Amino acid sequence: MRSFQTNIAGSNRLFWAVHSSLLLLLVWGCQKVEPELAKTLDGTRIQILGHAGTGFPATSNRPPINSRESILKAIEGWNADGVEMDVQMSEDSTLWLYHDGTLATQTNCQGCVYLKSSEALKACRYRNVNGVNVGENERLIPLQEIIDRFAQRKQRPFLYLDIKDPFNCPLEEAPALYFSRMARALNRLVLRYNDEAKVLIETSNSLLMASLSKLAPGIKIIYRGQPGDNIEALLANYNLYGLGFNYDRVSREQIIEWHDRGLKLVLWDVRIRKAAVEAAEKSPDFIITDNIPLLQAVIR
Amino acid sequence: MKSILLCLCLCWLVGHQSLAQVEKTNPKWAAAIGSSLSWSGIDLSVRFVWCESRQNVFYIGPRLLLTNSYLPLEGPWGLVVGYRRNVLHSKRLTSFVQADYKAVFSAPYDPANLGGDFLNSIHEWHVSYGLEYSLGRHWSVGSTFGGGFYLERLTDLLEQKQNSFTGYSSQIQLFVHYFFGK
Repeated sequence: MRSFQTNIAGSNRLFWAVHSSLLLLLVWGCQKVEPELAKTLDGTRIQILGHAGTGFPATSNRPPINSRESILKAIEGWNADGVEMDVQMSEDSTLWLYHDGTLATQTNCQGCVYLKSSEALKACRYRNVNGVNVGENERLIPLQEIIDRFAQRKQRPFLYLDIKDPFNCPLEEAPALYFSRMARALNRLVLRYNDEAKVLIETSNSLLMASLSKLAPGIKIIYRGQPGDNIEALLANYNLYGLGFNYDRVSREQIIEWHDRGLKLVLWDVRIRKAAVEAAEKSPDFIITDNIPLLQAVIR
Repeated sequence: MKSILLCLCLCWLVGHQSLAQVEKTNPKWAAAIGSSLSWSGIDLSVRFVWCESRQNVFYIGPRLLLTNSYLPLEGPWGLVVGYRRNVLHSKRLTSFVQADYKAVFSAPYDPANLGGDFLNSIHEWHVSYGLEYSLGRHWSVGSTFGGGFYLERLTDLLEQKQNSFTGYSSQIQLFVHYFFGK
């Protein structure tokens, strides 16, 4: 009898311990967006783009950024609406997916992408840095590889190309020539994708914007915005499709103002739930996120 | 909200139903609440633990994933099944090795209502080493750390097929045991 009473008392303690812990968790989580707000200003669904694939590395996200596995997983696994990719050009005018200024920071190669031939870049493998790429042996890939794969899909995903400026190694040609070459290379691949509306090109480089506007007026340029930018002047000079900002650097009112002028809005740097909620409540057209399932859960 | 309430109910059931059994049978059962961090994220699990002998321990129970990489959120649900072999005992401390399988399941994101009968799932297999510290007749706390593999089965709704992603996984686990009986 005494043992039974001890058990009942123990059981009650267990019961309250469990319930208190879970109630704490209940209070902790569960922030969601109001359904009316989790839409674009046109009333359509906000498009979710994976940042460099499935996002920058985290405990549960270890493929290298811009790697084939990361990009395919975002689209063919998590059903993202599109994917953001960092683009640099090799010396033979081929576009490659790579984020950093120098190859040594993430791969077993040295130097800068734009001073390497495609043959040399094909041999570059991502290194194992902080648990990234363990046992995966991912390599650097050309943009064309992704374009050819996704062009076969029933519905092509958005390709959001973040164009990296050459800044870490000395450029061996005039910048205007370099960006003119890059504009031609981009235009070739946009045409190859066969869905101009699904390729967005993000840059803040005036030379590239001028070259693209001249070469392919229909190409969709997203201006990478900074606080204090003179948007009026930009709109007067370039054929901009939209503006992109860090999610906490722009207000909903500004987004409404730019939307009324016919611009699309892209927000990025969305990693945690608070950021996902704040970004979604501003009703942009696109959100670039490092956590695709989280953003999907927030605006579901 | 629904997931958490369901988890609350399960915890209550585990505690009270196991206790009812123990009053009738030889007390070799325990209930455990554990939390682990592995490839699929941070989870909370409630386990029925069966101590087959002093060395061999089996457990099974539901688990609720609390994170999607970064912060807690609701679901998805899954299960954990494991076997533990106690290696060394002292008065209060037990060391053991453990092999477990964990899975979680969730519906794929489908805003366009493409449909299909697919479920996304993450399966993990780990081998861990652990220590358990007894706090008295009924309570003990412990932790494990180990490594293994994961297999993600994610649904490409547009193409109506599932794709697999595999890799290495590590696991850290904390648990509290409550042993029933004398």
